[in-house]
Amino acid sequence: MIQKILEQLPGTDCQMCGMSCADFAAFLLSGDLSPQECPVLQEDAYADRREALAALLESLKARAKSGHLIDPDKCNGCGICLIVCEYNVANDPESRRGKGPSKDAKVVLRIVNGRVVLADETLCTRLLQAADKCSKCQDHCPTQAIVLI
Amino acid sequence: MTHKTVTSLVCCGCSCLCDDIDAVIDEDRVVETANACRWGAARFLGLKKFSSGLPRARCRSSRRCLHDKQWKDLPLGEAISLCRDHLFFARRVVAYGLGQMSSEALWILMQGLRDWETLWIPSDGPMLEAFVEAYKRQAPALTHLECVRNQADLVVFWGANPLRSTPRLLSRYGLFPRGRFTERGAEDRKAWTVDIQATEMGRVTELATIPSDHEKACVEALRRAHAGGPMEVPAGLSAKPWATLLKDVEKSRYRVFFFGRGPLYHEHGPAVLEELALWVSELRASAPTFLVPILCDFNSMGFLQIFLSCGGSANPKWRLQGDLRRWEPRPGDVLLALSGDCFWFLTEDQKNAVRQHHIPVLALSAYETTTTAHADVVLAVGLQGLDVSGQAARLDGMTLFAEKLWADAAASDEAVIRKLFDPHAEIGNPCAPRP
Repeated sequence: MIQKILEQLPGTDCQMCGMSCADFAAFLLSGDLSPQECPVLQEDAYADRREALAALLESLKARAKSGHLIDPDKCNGCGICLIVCEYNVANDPESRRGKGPSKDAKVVLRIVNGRVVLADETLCTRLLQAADKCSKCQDHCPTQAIVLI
Repeated sequence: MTHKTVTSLVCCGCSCLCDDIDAVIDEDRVVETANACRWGAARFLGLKKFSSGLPRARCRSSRRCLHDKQWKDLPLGEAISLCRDHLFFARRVVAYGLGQMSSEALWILMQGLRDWETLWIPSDGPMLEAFVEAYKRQAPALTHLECVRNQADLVVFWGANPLRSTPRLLSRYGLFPRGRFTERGAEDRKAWTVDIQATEMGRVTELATIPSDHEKACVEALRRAHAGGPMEVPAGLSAKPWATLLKDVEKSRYRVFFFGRGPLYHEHGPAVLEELALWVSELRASAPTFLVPILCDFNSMGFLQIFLSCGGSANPKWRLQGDLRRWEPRPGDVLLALSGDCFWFLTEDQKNAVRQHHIPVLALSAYETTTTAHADVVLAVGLQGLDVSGQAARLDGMTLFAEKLWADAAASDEAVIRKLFDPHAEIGNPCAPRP
């Protein structure tokens, strides 16, 4: 995702914002800086990129605290993410055996109306431990419907 | 107003027949599903399978087409009687669809047509025809999906993309679940996909791509190499992935080959299945090895079971045909479109021949389709697992019972077929009694 943001920045590394474009992209992703803080991007020549960047950052608003950004249009509800999820596997015997979790089970992910949804993001290993410890749902998603940011 | 949650429903969305679906029902409508894949959820929610969010039109009333192309609604009994009249004059019955009917209805249908000249064209026809032919020669063994989950340490998807046909097969049984002897799930299994193009399966299994005209040669090469000969793949292909696949096959202790319909889109597809079935039977000498077809319609395997158990392959008056486009309409034919949209697949020439020979089109359907729009008589039935109950066989042959969700006035396909052949007689169904 940082790469996608970086593609929309001027890429001049002019340091007018006080840092390189790559660092600025990382701060945009985390939400600590806004595109208005890049003086070069405000020039007319970069109007298209400014719009594209705004759309990109708008789409990121849907991401969860755990970093999950789910594209429901790509998901076909195969349920692979449920069964590879470290929390689901450790705490829900149904998920371990391949069945979908029962309605009372405490799980991170569920399939609702044929699409994956975050049932309880606070249980996600990424919030309990370091965020880079687990990315199994993203890694195993065959349709790339789950992106972790 | 009723609002309830029902659990452990059987989904008739595909041949996986998932039995862990939860649904929230508001009056006589499912408003939310849990654990169902996109295809299954679309069926429960009354939406189109491939166009998310668009409602799918249901066939609500039985009717006949008048001479001026106007429709006239009829009571079900009268519509069945009309169909019976058409069948009375039939010299040959062409039964299309069949994979989306209950096992009970299929059983009664085959009993009823036992002495009739019948051309059976199931909607999963190419796969079923090729599999029956392979079964006659090699008798490749099937295994239960639960055994796959518990024991399989090698799964090969040949010409199959279950993510598009049976989306939950990988997570429920085929690749990821933890079983008795596969406690680490996917880590305890080697998984391969062999396909003519790169697919999403490449993200979850090893992928070997292959030109479609070389598939049979590759299976032959694998067979020869397994027998101790050199690995000689067709020119232009790298031998490395095939050598790795063979190594995985030889190391494994329980192997399952899932065969998809991909190769059957080409004329040499049946030969690929034949060769694979032969190799599977040879592999069984060293370890349990199975060949499982991935069928799309939820009861295609039920059709195959009942067809074979009725002596269908030996009945001189019956013929199983895979491809609808090989049907040559002739005077005296009656087209029975049974829960399948055959007019969607017919060529213009076939459609013209149907009109020219005045072939009656009798459609039994839960949905409005191209076929119901062209039919002379339409019999409206309920959807299995929602409006009506019925049995179906999963892709491995395991029979499941899909129970209805509400007390709907819709007729079941079983009741309609039963009345079609004899409104008075009781035709037994030895498949299994209803619970």
